[in-house]
Amino acid sequence: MIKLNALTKEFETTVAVKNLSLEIEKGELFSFLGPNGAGKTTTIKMMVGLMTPTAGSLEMGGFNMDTDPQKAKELIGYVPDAAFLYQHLTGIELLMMVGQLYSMDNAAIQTELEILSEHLFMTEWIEERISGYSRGMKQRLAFSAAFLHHPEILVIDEPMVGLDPKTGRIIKDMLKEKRDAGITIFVSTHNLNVAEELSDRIAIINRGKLLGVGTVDSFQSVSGKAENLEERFLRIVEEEENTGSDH
Amino acid sequence: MTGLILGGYRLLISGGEFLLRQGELGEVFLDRMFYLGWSIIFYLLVLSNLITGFSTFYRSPEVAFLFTLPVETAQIFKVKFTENLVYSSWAILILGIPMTLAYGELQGLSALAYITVFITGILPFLFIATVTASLLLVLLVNLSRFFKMRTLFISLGLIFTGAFYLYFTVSQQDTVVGGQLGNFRALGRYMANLSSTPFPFIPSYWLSKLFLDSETLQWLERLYFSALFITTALVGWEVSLGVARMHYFTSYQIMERTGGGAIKKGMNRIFTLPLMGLQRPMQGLLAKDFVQFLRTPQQWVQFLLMGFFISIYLINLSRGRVHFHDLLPIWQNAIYVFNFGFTGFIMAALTARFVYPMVSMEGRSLWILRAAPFSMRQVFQEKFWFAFFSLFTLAEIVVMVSNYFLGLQAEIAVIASGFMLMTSLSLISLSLGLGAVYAQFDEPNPMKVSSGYGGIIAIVLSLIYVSFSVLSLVFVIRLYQGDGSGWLIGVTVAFVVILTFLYTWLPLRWGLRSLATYEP
Repeated sequence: MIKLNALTKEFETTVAVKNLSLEIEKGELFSFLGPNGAGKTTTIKMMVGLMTPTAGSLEMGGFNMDTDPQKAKELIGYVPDAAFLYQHLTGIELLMMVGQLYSMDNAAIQTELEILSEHLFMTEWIEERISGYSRGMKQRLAFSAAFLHHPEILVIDEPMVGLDPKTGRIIKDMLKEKRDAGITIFVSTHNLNVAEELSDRIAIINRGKLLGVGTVDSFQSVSGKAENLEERFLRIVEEEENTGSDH
Repeated sequence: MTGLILGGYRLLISGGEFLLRQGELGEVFLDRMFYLGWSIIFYLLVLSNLITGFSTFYRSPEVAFLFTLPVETAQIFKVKFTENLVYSSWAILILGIPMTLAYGELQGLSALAYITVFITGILPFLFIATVTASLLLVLLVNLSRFFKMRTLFISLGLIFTGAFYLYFTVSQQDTVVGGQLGNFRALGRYMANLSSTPFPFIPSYWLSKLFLDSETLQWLERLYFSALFITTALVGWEVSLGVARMHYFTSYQIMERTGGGAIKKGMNRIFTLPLMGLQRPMQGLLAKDFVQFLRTPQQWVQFLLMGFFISIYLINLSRGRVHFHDLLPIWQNAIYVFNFGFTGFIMAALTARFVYPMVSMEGRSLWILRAAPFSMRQVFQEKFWFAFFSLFTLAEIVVMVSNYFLGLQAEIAVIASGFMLMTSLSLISLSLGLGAVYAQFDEPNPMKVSSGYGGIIAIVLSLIYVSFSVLSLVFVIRLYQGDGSGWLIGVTVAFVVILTFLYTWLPLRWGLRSLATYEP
């Protein structure tokens, strides 16, 4: 469902993502872990068509993002880590606009909008201008915008940022529901509890390089020690950094 | 840039020399045009300071940070004042420098006199405009406790325009375009109007005095006007610092309350209206741009003021009772040039101000469009047609109404409309394209975007196009009325068509490429 093939992204002085290959199956909830600056957001931006890879290719739902971007994008719902939304619109207008951008008809948008605004507790403020929203409110609206057109693939960058515990719980439950309904979910996070709780598989990335892929259990058992995911994650990253600096 | 300023200077010198060759009438006309030019610049400066100040003094995230520091309010005000002065004034210099240099040379000003005028005239002139706008701004924000900001801005616009209109009506400046210049009695009345003293309490009058040569203006008078400038600027500065100490922080808090609070708006009907059968995603894009425009005061306030400005021009034409056919051919051509040039200038100003920042106004929300399933070409198309339908309609109305009031022949009116179509296509494409090439997605203030580097290039290139377009139109009309051969008309029209094609195609191509490869 998602295929990343030797994906590389170079900027002027740095290589943000190096030769990254991954395959994520339909209906899988996949977590992408890494410290700050590891290359997670750059990978996600390439996956949703915001950035073009320097080398390699990627397929979303069977469509190549380079040669068939529009078909690929139709299948994706994306939530960025910092949701910059049109400040002068109201929440309801933003969702109406997003629905129209994804070619939904107004009646369908209206129905989805009512369901989502109730589900994510937005009814009280969705008719107000976005300029007055808190970070958590914006994040909830961004989730609604991503869910609105029933995407087959969800790509989420740091899902829990800015959310209060109650909304965080709701989002986690929604993601599980979507995964069970066959939606492929790619989540980037450095919140290991989220990864541990939600993921079918996880991948660890640091300095643009993939350090390992597997289930949460496989990561915990591979060391042979009684390590939890956090300890294992920190050790892998540290080892890679030491190896990297030795070279 | 230097080349363009020098180009403007040469053009103004030629225009000035032409007027001086017409004798005393031309001389008086030249003085009055210079005075009027600086009056308009002062008016524009106050407006631009006012609108930019709205975000510089209040909306900029930096202000919130500065107020948390152990710094006096007056110090913060000084920093923001300087920022506002620079942002709002430097673009004006593109017009001001050539005008100043050309007029100074025609008046025979020495190098020392230029320096004196710059230090004791032009700098305080800019300063006074910023002081005026800052005081008005603090007053407006304080009044916004009792009235809606929209009501205040509209009232202010009406007062400004009304004052401008009254001034022109009382002083009968409108006879410049309205008088029957073929008639000697009217000419006498016109001369009397021109020689009457202009309004002496505004800085543009003092500036026009400082430019007079040493024979006309005694050194004591020069000293008087310089002192007037400097003392007004200093007193204004002290007053605004005093006002800032007492009201700047209070007004900042008022703005925070009105801006950050919950504004219930629901959904604008444009999102659900059947808009001429527009397909998705066009409706969403169009509705979003329209609503954003309506809810950004910096946008609609200035658009409204431009509208008032154009209305005054048209009302003046309607009052002129011009019998176009009675005029001498030289004045007929002057009116063609002026009217079409004015409409072209308005179009250039509108496109540079409103079309140029359109792409930048997507801001950091651009990811929504980039991640959606359509190409950036569609985003570009939507913006182009949105701008074209609004601005071309406005420009055509100005052309048609002014042609009617001037009593132009139907054929000439059609030619002028055709030229306006090409002008609209070119200028909108130019501003939209360059606006994408030099996009500033981190700048929320459209005024600052359009007064940036790319914006200046856009306005200068637009004015170059308008100049070529006006000259070609005059040429075509003269050939059409005279015994000029048809092939020359064809060549001229072909030249404008090629120029239009280049102005339309190249910037759109560059802009689209730039937008499609932009990585947020």
